[in-house]
Formats: sequence, structure tokens, C-alpha cells
Amino acid sequence: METVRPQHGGTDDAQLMVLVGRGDTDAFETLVRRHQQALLNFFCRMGVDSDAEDLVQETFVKVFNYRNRYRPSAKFTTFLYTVARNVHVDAFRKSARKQELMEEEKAEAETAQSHDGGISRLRLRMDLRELLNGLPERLRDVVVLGVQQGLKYEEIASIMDVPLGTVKSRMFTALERLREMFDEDARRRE
Amino acid sequence: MKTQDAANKDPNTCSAIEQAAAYCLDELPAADRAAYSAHLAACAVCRARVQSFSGLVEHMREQPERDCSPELTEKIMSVVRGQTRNAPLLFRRSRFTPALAYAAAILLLLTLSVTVFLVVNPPLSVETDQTGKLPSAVTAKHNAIKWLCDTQEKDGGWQTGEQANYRVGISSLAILALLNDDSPDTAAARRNAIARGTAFLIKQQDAKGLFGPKFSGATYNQGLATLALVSADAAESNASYRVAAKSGIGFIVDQQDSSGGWSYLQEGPGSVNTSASVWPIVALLRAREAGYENLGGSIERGIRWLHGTVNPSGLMGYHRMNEAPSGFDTLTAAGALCLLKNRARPDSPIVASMLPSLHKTASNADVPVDFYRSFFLSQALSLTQEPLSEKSLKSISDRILSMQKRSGPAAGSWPAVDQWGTTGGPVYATALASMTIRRR
Repeated sequence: METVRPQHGGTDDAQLMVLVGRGDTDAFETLVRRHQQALLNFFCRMGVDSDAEDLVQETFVKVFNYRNRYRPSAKFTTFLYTVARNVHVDAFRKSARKQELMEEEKAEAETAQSHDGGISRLRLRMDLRELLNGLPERLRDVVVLGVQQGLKYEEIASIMDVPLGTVKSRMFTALERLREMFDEDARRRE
Repeated sequence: MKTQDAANKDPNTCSAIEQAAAYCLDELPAADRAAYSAHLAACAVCRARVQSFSGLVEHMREQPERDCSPELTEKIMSVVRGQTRNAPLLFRRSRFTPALAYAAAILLLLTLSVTVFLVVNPPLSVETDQTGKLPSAVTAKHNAIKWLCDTQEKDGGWQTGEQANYRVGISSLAILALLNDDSPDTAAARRNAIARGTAFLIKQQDAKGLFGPKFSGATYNQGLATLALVSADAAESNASYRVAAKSGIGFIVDQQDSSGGWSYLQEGPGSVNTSASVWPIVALLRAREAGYENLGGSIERGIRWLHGTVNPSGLMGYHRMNEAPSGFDTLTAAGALCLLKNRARPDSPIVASMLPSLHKTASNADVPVDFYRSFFLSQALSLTQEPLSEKSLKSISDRILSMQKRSGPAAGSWPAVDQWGTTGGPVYATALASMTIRRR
């Protein structure tokens, strides 16, 4: 035996959740390690910054508490992101910091831009986040889940509880709006 | 498939354009994808949209990822494990937990390693103990140093576990372990490995003095790399080490928060914590010992901040007093090391309040092994030079010694079985373990 954790290393997510349902916290730790970074970036892409790790923690604790609701026939990531999306919605209902954070980051980006004389990486990152947050929530969520988190349309439909066709049309609309916003932004800078 | 009909449609649109998003994201069934590909050859509107969406998707996927802080997993698991401990008895796990099963397996493996493997396996390049007793610390350390030299990569660094961002920190730990040994048998190999390792670190340093990639956990890399270079300079008096170490110190001092502590890199004052502060403080203390100048102010501010996190029971918190999401033990041991290295006397009120907790942790064989905690415990207790500390140090050392791999290709190393093992890998475990074991 090499380590404690590799005993679950090759086990797939659904099987791990079955073990978690029986109270195996080591199996749960494997799931946490496997998905925590993707989840952290999910929250960052949804506009959360300094509280992102708190939301990751809250999501995993909820997933653990809901472990008996999970059915192995469903993909674990569908279950995980369904919980995460609800955690995000709750957090932003409670918090009015989002706008503040955006303003801070924008100011930081403008400073960076004035220093390097061009569009810095921070500026690009901020632009994308700002543009994403300029989309209606139903469109932004589809883009973050589908493009940035790499989930398939079927999973997104399940997470957002909408028909598959709705995901298809929302994705097209979202990309179309982003394209227009990028073009508009580029024209403004010229 | 609906396609643009040039005769009766707006030339700027196409009824099939909505497929462009699904096409770019590979969401079309094979037959539809083939049909749309054919359509693209004839439809400039869809072609332009696919091109534009592809660029957009690529741009969004290229965005830099944020890394989790090293404590995140443990923070989550401490809440989860706390819930299971508090659950009704019916839902508690069997007493024969995976941890117990693991301990039993280790015991079985150790027994087997004596009764079977040493007989069956060919002779190893490291010294093995045929008696079944614990190896001496000298033998264990010799084998560990040999393993560390053998596993050094071509570029002079060492491999991490799953998080390559910590390569600078893990390589620094390996260098510190090599510097910590003085066996004449391995002197030449150690010198060579230290020279290559320090060259690797210097190569990772940017113009501002930061070692390695810029990410939240870089605070650990920075403290460890600076400590390694200061220690290497103290051992060999090497000008290039000193230049890099001074630049590393400059970066550390610049990153110090006005409160006196350190946070994870690029995170605000709200994230100042003892875990992130310990290595910068240890590096500055070591630098002052080695004769680097003008560090007193920064050190004193750091020590004062640490003082403020210790509660009346002598336990050190994480962000503040009485708050430790991953437990007080490691933080208290690391904090005690900083205070003692800053010339605090073991009988000073604050250190005296911390020592009972250190002894208790050292003698508690029921907690899972933790190389990081054991290292800080042994370093701090060594500085007290008290009789009780000798007993605690022996407990820690024996426990760590019993876990060293004594056969097979990884003989001499320690398995990365603790809570940081997935991140740091066996180099992390071996470097820290080799600095924790003590000669009897």
C-alpha cells in the first residue's frame, strides 16, 4: 500500500458517492480533492472573488449532507454543480459586495493598463468577467457551465432544470451577445 | 437541415445559424455535425459565426485558473468529519475505520518486509535492517539522503505530488534536508545535489525576487526557497546564493501586511494567517542568524502578530486567536518554533503556555501522522533543551522512523500518507521526515 488516498484514486465519482453514502469520509476527501479546483474556478467565473473558497466549502458540506439524495445513475458533476449553483444564488442574495468587487478590480486593471501601456492579462480577465456579468443570469450560467466548466448540454439542462433545447438556444444567444459586447468594447477602445 | 436560401432570405443571416454554438462546443450529433460541416462550406454567414464563436470560446477557456489554498481540503474535511463525529451513534462509522485498517496494513507490511521481502528481493543500494528493529536514525537519514539525491530531476528540482505549483517549495525542502545532514558518506552527492538544487531555485526567481509561479500558495514557496538559499549561503558562503536570498528577503518584506503577518499572495489583509506567516518568519530569522542585516523591524512585527494569535491556553489560531479551522496543533508547533528561534526563553510566559500542548501532541499516537506537524514539533522542542522534550522528541522520531520504506525501489523514502501528501508527494514527506528523526 503506497498511501491512504490512492485506495480511492481510480474509483469513479459515482462509486465514491456510494461509499460516502455509507459514511466513508476518505472517499469524500478523494471527491473533494478531485473537484475543488474546478469548483473554485466556477465560483470565480460567476463573479465571486475573496469568498470563493468559502462557497466551495459550503458546497461540499452540502453535498455531504445531501449524500443520501444522490443516485448513481446521475453524473456526480451534475449533482455537484446543482448544489453549487444554489449556493451561489443564496450567497448573492445575501451579499451586496459583488458590485464593490467589480469596481475594485476595474480600478486595479486600469492602473495595470496604465503601467504596461497595453491591455494586460488582468484587463482581459476583468473584461471577460465584466462582460459575463453583463449577461442575464440565465445566459451567463449556461456559458460558465458549458464553455468554462466544460459540461455537456444535457448536464446543464439537468442542473438548470430546463429542456435541452432551451440550453441550446440560450448558449447561442449568450455567445451572440458576448460577441457583440466584445466588438462594441473593442470599438470603444479604438 | 435548414440552410440559407439566397433567393428569399436576408443575406446577413441564415436559418441554421443557431447550430454554430453547438458546432463549436462539439454538441451536435455526428450526423448533424457532418451536415453542418457541409453547410459551412457554402454559407459565409454561418462560417463567419463559427469562426467568431470559436475565437470567443478559445479566449474564455484560456483564462488563468485560480489555485486552491493549501488548507482548503482540510478545512472542508474538518467540517465534514466534525459532523460525522457528532452524528448519532447509529450513523457513525465502524470503529474499524480506513485509518485503522491502514495502520494494520502498515504493520502487516512492516512485518512482511522483514519476513518476506528482505529474503526474496535482491540486495538494495540502501542499507537495510535485517533484524526487524527500527533502523537507527543515522541509517534512516543516510537512506533518505540517498533517495533524495537519486530522485533529483535533470533541471535540479524535485517533483511534487499533484500540485506542480509547489515545486519550488518542495525542492527547497529537499535542499534543506540535504543541508541538514552531515554524513561524510554522502558528502559528495549532497554537495552536487545542493549546487544543482540551488541553481534550479535561482533560475525560478523573477526580477522582483519571487521564486516560482505567482499564485496564492507562492507565499510558501517564497519562504522555503529563501530559507534554503540563506542556509546554503551560511553553509558555503556563496555570493550567488546571497544575491538571490537577499532578493527573496526583499520580496518577503514587501509582502508583509501592516498588521505584521503574511497572507497568501495577492490576497488581501483579510487573509493574513499564521500558516502563511510561519515560513517567511523562519526565513527572516535564519537570515538574521546568518548575518543578513536590517531585518529586525520586520521580524519583530511578525513575532508581535503571532503573539496576538495565541490564546491563554497557549494555542495559536489561524487568522486570529481561538480560530483554527484545521486544528491548533500544527500552528502552535510552528508558532512556538518562531518564538523560540527569536530567542524567547522556554520559561517565558507565552512559550511556557504553549509547551504543554506540544508535549501532548507529540505523545498522542492516535492522531494520524502528519510530517509537517512532526517537523515543527521536533524543531521547536529541540530548542527548549528540556528533559521532558527529550521524551517527546523520541516519541515523534520513533513514529516517523517506523514509516520509512525499507525495501523496493523507493527504499529510503517516506510514503506521502498525511494530509499534505497529495500536494507534496514523497519528496515532501521524505525531506521533512529526515529532518525530524533524531539520533539516539
